[in-house]
Formats: sequence, C-alpha cells, structure tokens
Amino acid sequence: MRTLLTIVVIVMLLLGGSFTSYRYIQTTTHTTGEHLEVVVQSISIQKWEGAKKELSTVRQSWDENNTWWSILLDHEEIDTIDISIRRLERLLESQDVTLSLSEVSTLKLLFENLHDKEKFTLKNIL
Amino acid sequence: MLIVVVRTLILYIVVIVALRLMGKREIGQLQPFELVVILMISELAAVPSENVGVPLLSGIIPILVLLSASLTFAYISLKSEKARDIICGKPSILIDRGKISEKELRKNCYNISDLLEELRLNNIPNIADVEFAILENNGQISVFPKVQKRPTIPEDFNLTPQYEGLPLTIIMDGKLKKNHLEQSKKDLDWLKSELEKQKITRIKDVLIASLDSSGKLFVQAKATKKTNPSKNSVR
Repeated sequence: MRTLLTIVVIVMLLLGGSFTSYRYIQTTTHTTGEHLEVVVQSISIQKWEGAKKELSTVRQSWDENNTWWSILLDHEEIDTIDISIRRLERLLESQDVTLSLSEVSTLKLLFENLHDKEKFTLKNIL
Repeated sequence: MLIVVVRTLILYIVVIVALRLMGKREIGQLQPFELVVILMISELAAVPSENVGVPLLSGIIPILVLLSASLTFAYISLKSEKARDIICGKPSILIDRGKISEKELRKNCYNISDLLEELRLNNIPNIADVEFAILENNGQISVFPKVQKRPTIPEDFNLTPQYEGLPLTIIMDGKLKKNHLEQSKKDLDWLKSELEKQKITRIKDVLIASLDSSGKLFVQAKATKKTNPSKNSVR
C-alpha cells in the first residue's frame, strides 16, 4: 500500500509539475513575444521612446520571472537572454535601426526556442 | 563554492530519501533493474552538483522518475509471477544433479573457468561435490553440495538443540533500550545486578549489552569507562 501511494504521489507531482511549468513558460514567452513585436514595430517607424518603454516592460517582466526561470531552465540560456536584452537596450539608446532590429529578432528567437524546447514532442524526446 | 556545497547536500539528501523509499532490496541490488537504478541515480545526482549552470530540478526530476519506475517494477513483480519472469528473469541451473548443463552455460555466457571460480568462492573446490549450482538473477551462484559432502547438521545425529532466538541489544552505546528490556521479560534490577557482576555501575559506561535466548548477557564496557564505586545507581 505504501509503495502504491508513493508511486501515485510521485507521478501526480511529476505530471502536475510538468503541466504547470509548461503552461508558465508558454504564457511568459507568449507575453514577452507580444511585447517584442511592439518593439519591432516601434523601431521600424523609429519611435525610439516607445520601443524603450516596451523593452523596459520586457525587462521588468524578465526580472520578476527570473527566479522561476532559473529553477526550470538551463542557466546558460537565461544568461544569453539577459545579455541580449542589455545589448538591445544599448542599441535602442544609440538608435541604430538595423542592429536593433537584428537584436530584437535574436531575442524573439531565443524566447521562441525556450518555448519550443519545453514542448512534449518526439523531436525534443529524441 | 558554497553554492556547489549546498547543491551537493540537497542532491545527497534526495538520493538518500529515494533509496530509503525504494527499500533494502535496492541497496542489496537483488535484481538487474535495481542495479540500473542505482547506477543511473548516482550519475544523475553528480551532474547538477558539480555544474551550477544546470538547474537542480534537472537532477531531482529524473531521480524521482527512476524512483517511481523502480517502485512500479518492484510492485508489478510482487503481484505477478509472469511479470516477474519478464522483468527479473529466471534463475538458471548450471549444474543439475551433479551434471554440468552446457546449454545453460552457453545461454548465460558462462565458461567453465567462471563456474569453477564461483564454486571455489563458495568453498567447494571440487566440482564433483556439487549437486546443484544455480545462477541467480543478481549474478550470484547458489551452490548445493551433494548430501555426503555437505556440512553435518544436528538432525543427522538425531539431536534436538535448544531453540536459539535473536539476541536482544539491551544497552547500546551507553543508552538503555527499554523496549528490548521489556521484550526480554527482564527488569532494571536484574540488569543492575548483571552489570555489577562485571564491576560496571552505570549504564552510560556500557558499550554494548546483548542478551541471547538462553538468558546470557554479553557486556562490554566502554574503553573510557569511569568506575565510581560511590555511585551505585544504574540509570
């Protein structure tokens, strides 16, 4: 009986935890992706203040969620995103359209990769 | 560095808890799937403890998965004999009624040298003395010697020795085990008198006191025992 109970508890924890963490990552990456899309549009029409404001929202959200991300994901990926955000902040200050757009694309891809890596697919299992 | 220390301790505790939940079988590695679990758990625990870039959960979750898988296999093999045969395999009889089974040796990739070595390790240097030799699922060989070659037992001489139960540890490392004392149907006064026979006045000074089923008390005092004749209480 104890064995069965232990198995059930662990399985429930694993399934529940997996589902919760996936939903959390999906939600945060989706939200961040939307903000970054706004940044792209702002940069395209050279609305630098708007772009900076939107990026600061991304930065704030990133700082708030950093703890949970560190628990769930590889720290190297988190560091890469951190570096990319800081680079984009500097590029927005220097008002370089080409490099800023390139950095935003990189940042968007990094977040999309995070989301894709956590999906329960055959590709990720293999 | 402190981070590595804390992570290692956390994973160490997780592994201990996992092994405790899996039970004594896991530590004894009775079955192949249990050996696999032990090996994998040790590897899984090592990676996050030395690499701080890897989240701790990356080590803990696979350990939990292995724990649940191992418990599941153990539970299934407990309930179903067929499943047990598939999961654990069946023991192989390498020597059957004194005759070596070449077929079983080949099937298990066991050569004659290995067989002779195992027999010697079982204190049987002469293969002619073996009635049965069984290769168990955990890789060990159980050897049953021929009747004329086995050690004699009291039954061979129609003797009925006295019953020998498990000895009870009454005092361990200076601490009295009250439940064992009650179980032995003895009291503290008896214990006091037995210790005084050995010139020991305090329970604290006893390293071990073990009572066998014939009522004999084995006592050993601690090396740093202080014999104080003025203090006659045994607490």
